[in-house]
Amino acid sequence: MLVFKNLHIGFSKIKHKKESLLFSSDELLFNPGEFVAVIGPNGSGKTTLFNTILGEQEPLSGAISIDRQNWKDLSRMDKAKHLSFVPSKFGGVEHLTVYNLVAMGRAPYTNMLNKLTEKDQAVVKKVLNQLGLSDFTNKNTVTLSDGERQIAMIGKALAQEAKIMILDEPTAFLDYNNRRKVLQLLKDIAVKNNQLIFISSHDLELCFEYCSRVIAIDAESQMLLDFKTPFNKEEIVKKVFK
Amino acid sequence: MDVVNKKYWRTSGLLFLLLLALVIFDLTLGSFSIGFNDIFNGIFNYDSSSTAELTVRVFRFPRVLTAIMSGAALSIAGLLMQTLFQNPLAGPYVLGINSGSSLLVAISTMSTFSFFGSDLGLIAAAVIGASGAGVFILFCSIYVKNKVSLLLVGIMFGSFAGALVSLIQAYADPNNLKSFMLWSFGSLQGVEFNQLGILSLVVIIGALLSLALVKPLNLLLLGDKSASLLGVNVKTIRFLIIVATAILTGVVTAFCGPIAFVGLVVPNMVKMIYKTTNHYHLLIGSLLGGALLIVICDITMQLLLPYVNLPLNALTALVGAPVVMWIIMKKF
Repeated sequence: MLVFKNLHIGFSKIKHKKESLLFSSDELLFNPGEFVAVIGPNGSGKTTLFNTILGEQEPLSGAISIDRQNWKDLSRMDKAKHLSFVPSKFGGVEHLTVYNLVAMGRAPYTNMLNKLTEKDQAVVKKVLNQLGLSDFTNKNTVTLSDGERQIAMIGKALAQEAKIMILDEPTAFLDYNNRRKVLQLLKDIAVKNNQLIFISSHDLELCFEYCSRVIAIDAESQMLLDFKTPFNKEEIVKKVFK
Repeated sequence: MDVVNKKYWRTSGLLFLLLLALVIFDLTLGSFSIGFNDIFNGIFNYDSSSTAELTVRVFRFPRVLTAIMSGAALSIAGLLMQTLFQNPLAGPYVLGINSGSSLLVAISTMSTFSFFGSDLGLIAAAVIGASGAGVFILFCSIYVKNKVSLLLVGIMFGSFAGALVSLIQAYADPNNLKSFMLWSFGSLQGVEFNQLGILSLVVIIGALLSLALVKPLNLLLLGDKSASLLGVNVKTIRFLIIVATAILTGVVTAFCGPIAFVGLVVPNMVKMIYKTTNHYHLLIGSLLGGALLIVICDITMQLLLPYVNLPLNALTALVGAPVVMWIIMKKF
């Protein structure tokens, strides 16, 4: 479904800086239902990779395609229907309720005044049930705990009904229990909804436990390394974190 | 959700009724009291031989309608600024947008530049000035991430523009200077009956443009990146928000002078009352609340008239400055 074709990722020439390549990939294919962790040391380019997939940044060369369409040819609205994003930290917004946060995920489908149709409301309700957020619907997003807020943001992404979900370090600000809870949730979503989910993370142990695939950025060879279950943990760690 | 929406509509309805009552009360106020009959006739069925009807037609109706329009426009502009900069202290006055307007109005009233001589010319000058200041502050917001620092930039810009205005004043013709000084106090009485049309029209255009931005405004609350990935073209939307703000602030500044703090205070009050982030309701609330605040200011001024002639700008600052301090203590 999602294909990287000879992708070269990094920063193009800006002002005085030279073009700098972070890493490149051979042809990589990702399918719905996969739960993919992107790992690598700080500064290796996890965020840059995500920004490139999200279309915020151009690859140096190569292409990303989704369902055989070149990613670059899709409009902003089409992209919003294919791909959802959860930032690592969201502080909440005063007076924004969990319901309305999740409902924001319907934005690519609603009219100019953002009016929710019955179908939109049904989707929001389904998502709230699936994530166990039904008791929180009218709670202010500022007063939620970090874990609850993270799950509410995942709800927003789910309501977007995009085939691909990208989460930037979803566990970075959570305690141990919430980390496990969020990852279990994502694993279930990938299988049940048949979605392709990407996370970036430094929690290697948890990634090996929950994810179905690990993409590692090897700074030395400047390559993306692809590992599938069962993971040989020692080999991966040795290769990537020297 | 429908129950919740009904709650917002009920609040808006109450605000509207309150506004209506105060508007009628305000129309009776002035140097002498006028009955309801004469007010009605003066607006809809005017007979120039009746002093009361003439007074309503020439002074009171323009004054009150100007109060409604200016309050609504400035409050909507304030709401747009607060969402654009994710800052509860933002508003057209503190960000220097009024000052940009004032500078160009000063140039147009105190110079012999004939293009700006007409009403439309004056509005154009004020809107251009406001846009310039808006684009400047938007540009600064890229580099100045701290919310309070951005306000300081706005205030500095205001001082700078103020200094240029002083410079122009030093060389101005005394008559022009006097009319400019009166304008700068802020007044609701400078708009004549036949100017009401253009004032209302421009405010309505600005309000409709803001209404068209409701959805992106809602999504901008999640931050630029998340909004962009939900289909918002952030750059275009930012530009349109600045355009709407400039239109709304510019036209009011052109006719009523630089009115302080309304755009900052009202949206904060409205958010407290409505307790929502849906800009559809916040916009309606700001429109009604802003009109209400300026009408109340006008009533206060009219009631105090026998004792003291309070300029509008002094009154809004008396209300506004404490509210700003309160917000700073609560949120920063």
